[in-house]
Amino acid sequence: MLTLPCPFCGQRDETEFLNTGPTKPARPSSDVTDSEWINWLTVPVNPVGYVEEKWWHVKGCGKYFTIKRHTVTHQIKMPDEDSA
Amino acid sequence: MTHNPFRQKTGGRIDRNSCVEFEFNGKRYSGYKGDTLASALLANGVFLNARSFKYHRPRGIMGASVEEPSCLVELLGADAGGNHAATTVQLRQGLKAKSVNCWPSPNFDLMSINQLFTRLLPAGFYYKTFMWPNWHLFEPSIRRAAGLAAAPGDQIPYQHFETRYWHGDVLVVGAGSSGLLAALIASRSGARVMIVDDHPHPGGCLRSSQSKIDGRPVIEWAEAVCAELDANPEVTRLQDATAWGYREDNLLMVTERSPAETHVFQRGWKARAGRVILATGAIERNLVFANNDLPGVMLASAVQIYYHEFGVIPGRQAMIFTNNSSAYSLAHDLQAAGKMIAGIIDSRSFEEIGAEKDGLEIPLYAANQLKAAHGGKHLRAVSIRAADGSIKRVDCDLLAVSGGWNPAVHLFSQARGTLAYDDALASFVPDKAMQRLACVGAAAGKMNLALAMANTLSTVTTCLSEDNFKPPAFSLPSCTTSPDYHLQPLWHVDGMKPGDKAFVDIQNDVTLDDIGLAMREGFDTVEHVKRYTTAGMGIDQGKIGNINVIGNIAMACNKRPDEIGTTTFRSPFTPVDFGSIAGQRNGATVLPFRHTPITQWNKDQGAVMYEAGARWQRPGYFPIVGGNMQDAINAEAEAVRYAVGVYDGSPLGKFDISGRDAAAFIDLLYTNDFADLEIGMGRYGIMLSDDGMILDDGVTFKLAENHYLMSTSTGFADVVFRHMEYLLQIECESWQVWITPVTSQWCNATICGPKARDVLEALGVSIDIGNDAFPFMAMREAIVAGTPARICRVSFTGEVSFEINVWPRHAEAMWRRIMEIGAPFGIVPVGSETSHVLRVEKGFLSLGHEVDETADPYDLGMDWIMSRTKTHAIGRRSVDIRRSSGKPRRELVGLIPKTGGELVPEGAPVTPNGDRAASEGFVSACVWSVVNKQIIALGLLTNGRARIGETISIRDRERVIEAVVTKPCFYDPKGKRLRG
Repeated sequence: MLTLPCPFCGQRDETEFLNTGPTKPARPSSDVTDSEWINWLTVPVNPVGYVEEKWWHVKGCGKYFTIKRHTVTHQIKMPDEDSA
Repeated sequence: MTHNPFRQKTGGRIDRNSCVEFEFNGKRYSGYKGDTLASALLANGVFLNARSFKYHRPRGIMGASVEEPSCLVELLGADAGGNHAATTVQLRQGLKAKSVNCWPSPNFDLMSINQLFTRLLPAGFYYKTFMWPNWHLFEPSIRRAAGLAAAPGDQIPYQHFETRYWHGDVLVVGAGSSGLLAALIASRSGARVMIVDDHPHPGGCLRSSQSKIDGRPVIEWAEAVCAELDANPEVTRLQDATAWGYREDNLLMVTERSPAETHVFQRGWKARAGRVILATGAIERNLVFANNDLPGVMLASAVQIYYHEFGVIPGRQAMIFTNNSSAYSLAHDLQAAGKMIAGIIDSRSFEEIGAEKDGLEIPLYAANQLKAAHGGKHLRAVSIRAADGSIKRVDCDLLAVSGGWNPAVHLFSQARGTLAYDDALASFVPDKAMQRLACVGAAAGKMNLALAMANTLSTVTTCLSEDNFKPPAFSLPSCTTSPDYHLQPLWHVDGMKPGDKAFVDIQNDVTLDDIGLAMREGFDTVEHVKRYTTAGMGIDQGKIGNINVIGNIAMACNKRPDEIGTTTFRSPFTPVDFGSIAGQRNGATVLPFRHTPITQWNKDQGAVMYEAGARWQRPGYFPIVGGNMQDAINAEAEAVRYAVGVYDGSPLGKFDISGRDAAAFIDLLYTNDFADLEIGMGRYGIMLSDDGMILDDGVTFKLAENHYLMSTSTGFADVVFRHMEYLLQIECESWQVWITPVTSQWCNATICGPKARDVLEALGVSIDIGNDAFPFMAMREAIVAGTPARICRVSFTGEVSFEINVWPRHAEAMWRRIMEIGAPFGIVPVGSETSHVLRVEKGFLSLGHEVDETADPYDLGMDWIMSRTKTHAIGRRSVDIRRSSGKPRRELVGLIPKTGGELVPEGAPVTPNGDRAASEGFVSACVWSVVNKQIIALGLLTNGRARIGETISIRDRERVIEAVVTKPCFYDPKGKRLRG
């Protein structure tokens, strides 16, 4: 069970959070093509390595926040940290 | 009187003054305080005490601790629990236990007939044989035959499970010499320390050795260290507690089996540590020869433990078979005790055997191997095979085996650490750690006491310094040196014949033949061999056999063991009672129900309570005297259609939405237009997820400019909240919108039916409730029966409805008042069964029935809800793209099934001609309609709207039901009644 850095509450147990998936690119504007839209909708990133994710502190302060999590080691970094 | 024929007159650390009575497989025995169940059974001469998992071969106790593969027991009565190794069960007065794998007893086991068919039961037999028509048909009876313990049915009186959290700096697993030293250094550095050990007493495997630390026997040194640790309030020391799971971020799952508090049966700890020190020691492994599973064959280290710890020598004539130096200390012990030793068989050459043999006056069969063990239900003799191939038979009733030592890397591996093969140990040792942990002592492959202690001191000091502690100067305790550990790998003995029962994994009944068979059939990687043969699986997790499996695979394909690699060790390390994970969260407290203030009133009326979604309790229906459930539902439904009914709509999700951009936010969420909604009015809306499927529906009222009250379906309120918060926090960061969940802040009683207005008038209401002043879909603030209320004119029944919302503290009084005032009008309370009937008659959709995350509004015939002008609503683009393909969709239709009065099960598929073929839709709801006096149904049907009037076929298992397709509305299609 991970611990996660909530920006308000600090380091807390994973059970307090909900992983809402990898960060999506910004919602496309209405003038994109259908295939661009479908691409945005259906293709998530799935790297072996660091993935930027949104977590929701649902059983805490209610804040959605962004972290980078390594999909193999579970190491966690802040989004502005170097992913190397 | 205690009759323990295999107990020594003196020696051991049991209390000979405290006799303990216990029961095993229905027979009474006695042992002493300090015994384990295993040591007491051996002392009593109960050597045959288990049957094997698959072949039901006779088995005895082989180990002395967590590594025990054979003697698993189910504890009964006050100790209720399953699958415990007898070696880890502390003997208590009145303990009752039984073997798990045999019926009716290990001595007369009916399933042992499997032994006669062993040639027919090779690896993969079950997979190959029980394929047709499908495995699930055979699985229950096979599992019963092969089964481990059943879940205990007995309640534990006067005790309960408990869970506790621990947070600290250093968690040490194992209280052997290395673990104790690590804990001592950490505690002297000022760290908050926990030390966990799965034996009842500290000292680890050296409790049974002659080694000395600081000139004292290991036990005395260990007790002195523990005294210092116990005096430090920052140290938590747990004995008889197993760390069985290593989770992410240094979270360890620990079960404490005998807490000091008598009311606690077991305590589960969730321990989170800044640093973990694994001092888990090493586990002795078995040797692979024919009949190496006979009762009487034991691990050498186990025999030593039984002798030193319990004063038990489980045999009269002992033989030792080894490939390494460690088993010689047992020979020295037995010789010193004056016991008969038939000899020591060592697969190493005489030159390779070092100082360990000095002083022994017993036959030494160097460069010999044990060919086979002989005996029926117990060992009687062994055959020894000399280097020249000659065979010698020697009588013995105890065979102590040592195949070398494997570092206990289970927790390290669970923590995702990688392993490296060590040639000198012929085993795997920890390599690269993936979490903040360090291995010390034998767990790190340091088999020599002095080396292990030195390695522990330097490793722990480095860790503490890295963690910003200042370890004080610490001088290494002096240790007596034992002969250097030396081993020559022996993966199996020479000259084995096909059909020899030589087990590599005792617990899972996997023989050397099975490994060979798996590899011949192409399962030639360690992962495949594991899954095909089940070696290393189950509750054993490859403690004494896993390295033998790997070694034998390597031998068979002529590779090195490190090229074969290991499989992943899984948690739990030892069997865990579920209760110790759950603690006091069991029964009704696991997922508590949600109640409205009317729950008690409903129960007092005898309502049958349902869960309405999201754990909300609602009445399903109110049983009537002299009628069945359908009669009760019909009576409730008729009351609503022809007089008046009332239901508790409080669980419906409610959100108060306000802020500068609230109107824009509502517009983003819903597919239809809300811009022209007037204050005081509500509108039905549908919101989609990004993929264009219906997420939820409900009515949203405009309370003021940029202030709304949104209602959602009961079960999806949490999902909608998450959806809205996601949009606001991630995508619309600059918007100013506040969302307050107010589901439990407003309770409502919904009065519905042609006489609803009369009842509301009679209650006393401070506003004009005529249809002109208070039209359909309006909301008004008013005083009702002297209580402030919000009244909403929405309808989920198709009748005139007034939803009277009050604060929860007024809800019960309001409800009682409504029932009292409504009585002359014939008011009845209405449950969710009736709500369902009424909404099906109207064709109103219900989430979870017609809407299952594959439907969009067009599918439900709700084209009107897709705004012509507003295209930016969430999900709109996806709907448009999907529909532009023109592919056929499943559409909502009404169905009139010709069943002759029976209901069609919800979910029943519609198939072409009723054939057993791909479905073209399904029945989403089916009820008896009180207004139409017939069975009606709703369903989703491919191209359904174009097929109105057709007859289609519904499959209900083997029955085919015909149904006529209609429009999905069976009552008041123009909605005149609900607007009236």
